[in-house]
Amino acid sequence: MSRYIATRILSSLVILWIVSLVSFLLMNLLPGDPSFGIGGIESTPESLAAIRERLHLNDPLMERYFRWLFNALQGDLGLSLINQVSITDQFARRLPATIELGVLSLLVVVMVAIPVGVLAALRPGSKREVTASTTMIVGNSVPEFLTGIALILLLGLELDLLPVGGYVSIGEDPIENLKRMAMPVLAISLTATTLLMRQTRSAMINVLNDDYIRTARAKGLRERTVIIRHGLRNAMIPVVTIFGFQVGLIFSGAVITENVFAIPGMGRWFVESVVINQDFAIIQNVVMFFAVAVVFVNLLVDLSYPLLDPRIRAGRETA
Amino acid sequence: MSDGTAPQAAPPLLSLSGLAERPWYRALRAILRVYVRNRPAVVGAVILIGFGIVAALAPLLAPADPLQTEQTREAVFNSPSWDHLAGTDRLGRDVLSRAIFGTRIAWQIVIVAIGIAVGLGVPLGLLAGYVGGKLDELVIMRVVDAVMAMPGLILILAVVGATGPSLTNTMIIIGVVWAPGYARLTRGIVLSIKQEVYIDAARAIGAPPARIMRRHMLPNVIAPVMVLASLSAAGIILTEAGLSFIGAGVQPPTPAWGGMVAEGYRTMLTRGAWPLVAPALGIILLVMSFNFVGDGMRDAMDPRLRNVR
Repeated sequence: MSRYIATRILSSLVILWIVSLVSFLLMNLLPGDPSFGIGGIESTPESLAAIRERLHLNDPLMERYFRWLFNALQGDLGLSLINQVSITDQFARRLPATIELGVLSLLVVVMVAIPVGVLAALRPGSKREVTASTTMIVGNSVPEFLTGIALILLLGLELDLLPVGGYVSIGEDPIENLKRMAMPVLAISLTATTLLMRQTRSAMINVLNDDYIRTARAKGLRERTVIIRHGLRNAMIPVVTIFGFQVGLIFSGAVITENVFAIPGMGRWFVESVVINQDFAIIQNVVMFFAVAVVFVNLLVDLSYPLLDPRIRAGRETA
Repeated sequence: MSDGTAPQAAPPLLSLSGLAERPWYRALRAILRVYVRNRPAVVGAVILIGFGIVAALAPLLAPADPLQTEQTREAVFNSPSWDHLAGTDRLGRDVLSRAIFGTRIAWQIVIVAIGIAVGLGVPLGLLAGYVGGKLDELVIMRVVDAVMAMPGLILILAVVGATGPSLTNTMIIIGVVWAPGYARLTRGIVLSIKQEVYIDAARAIGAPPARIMRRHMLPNVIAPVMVLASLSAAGIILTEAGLSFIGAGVQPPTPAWGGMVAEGYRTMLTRGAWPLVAPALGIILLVMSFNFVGDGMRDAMDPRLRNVR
């Protein structure tokens, strides 16, 4: 059991290490010279050289990599290339909006997807099931930004129920904060919900065909007990497995949606750094943030398997 | 391969009656029979073909030049009319024509990106599964895990940050990021058939590994890869549309659907939503068709699901 936990933690660290190496090399080996972006059109070869010197761009690659890694582990993410402000400070300012978006979206996704997925699995082939699975595919085909725009047109302009964008922190005004979060959260949740719903549905269909379900029914258990205690509990493993993926999907959704609704979070910052500023220092740190978040959730998922499946608890790793 | 008893006559290559006896042909017929019973999947396939035709014949079908601007007060932000069926945008360009040419961009990205993903992923998966050992466990699968652990859009954005946005970059990056999925699928299949008797037999008669992978393993991979391709086509279009929407994908004035929506969105609150309606419908319809086709193919090919309906 402790061996299982140790392997999972170790392999998470390995993945993060690979991501850090890849994102660092990507930013530093591909063509493009950040000093030019900082110096601007009027820069001379001398001023460019001075900028390169100041940014330590002339140091050996590996030295720079380990300096970044070492400082980052101590909470110092360095300075942005464009205006030389502390990236750690910016992180602190950008993080709350994105974390709130993510947590609220995940809540909506789980609370809608799992019950509906179970219901859709109960009678495969029935009209309700076919409608549900068709709706899932349709919902799965609309990109977050179009959902967002449709919500703005409907709830924001037509019905005038909600403000169409911007961000107010939860400490400042909790009600206004929720009002402004409602549409972005809905836009992000739609895709993730349909995916989790499909996963729940197919896991439940598989499980409900198993012999022990027939046994449970045969010994006279109530249908509710059969479905929840015997069905859902066993169907949870494949459902929980895609949680890490779900969180990734929600973050991707946040990157897009923050741009639709003008929310000053990590996603908007990331896009600004990529599209407008090409600020490598910010990009590599933001990528690491998303990687740490997703890998951490995946680790939690792995660690939850022993709780869900006694076979793993007993140390027989079959999956 | 001779089975050691009597030499058999080679089956005629181009005979239709011979075709009907081939096992793969019979399997295909069986799959098709299930597929055509799935109405959304058939409708999806028809729509896909329609979009394909529109993409191929875009210059003939588009009523106007997609790049032709007309910046007068009367020509911009028109609602749909007989002259401009989908209205005009902020530069007075015909939205329908741009959406029609956008179909081309969408297909181009899907085809090139999937080509790259399959071309990289399937050989890697074959290699990882067949050779196994350290190459598999320590190198290929670790990289695959690391890439797949990252949300695709974020990984792609990071690469765009390094390379700069363009149509070519978008296609290549999406293809590379999608490749690990194909590698993992292929490896899984190879591992599951590695111990089959016919693989042992091929090895026993001295077939080299490259031949075993190509002739005996690859055919098992084709059908699942086709399903994955159809489903990932949907994801690729969504990703590309998202990238172009935030300005990190195909750059204006090239008419990509995501970029058109972004342009329309910027003026939506003041000038109305008409410029983004046609490209938005294009994205939704094409993605939905790919999803329905992929779903139909999977249901038709997976014998376990076949009995469910």
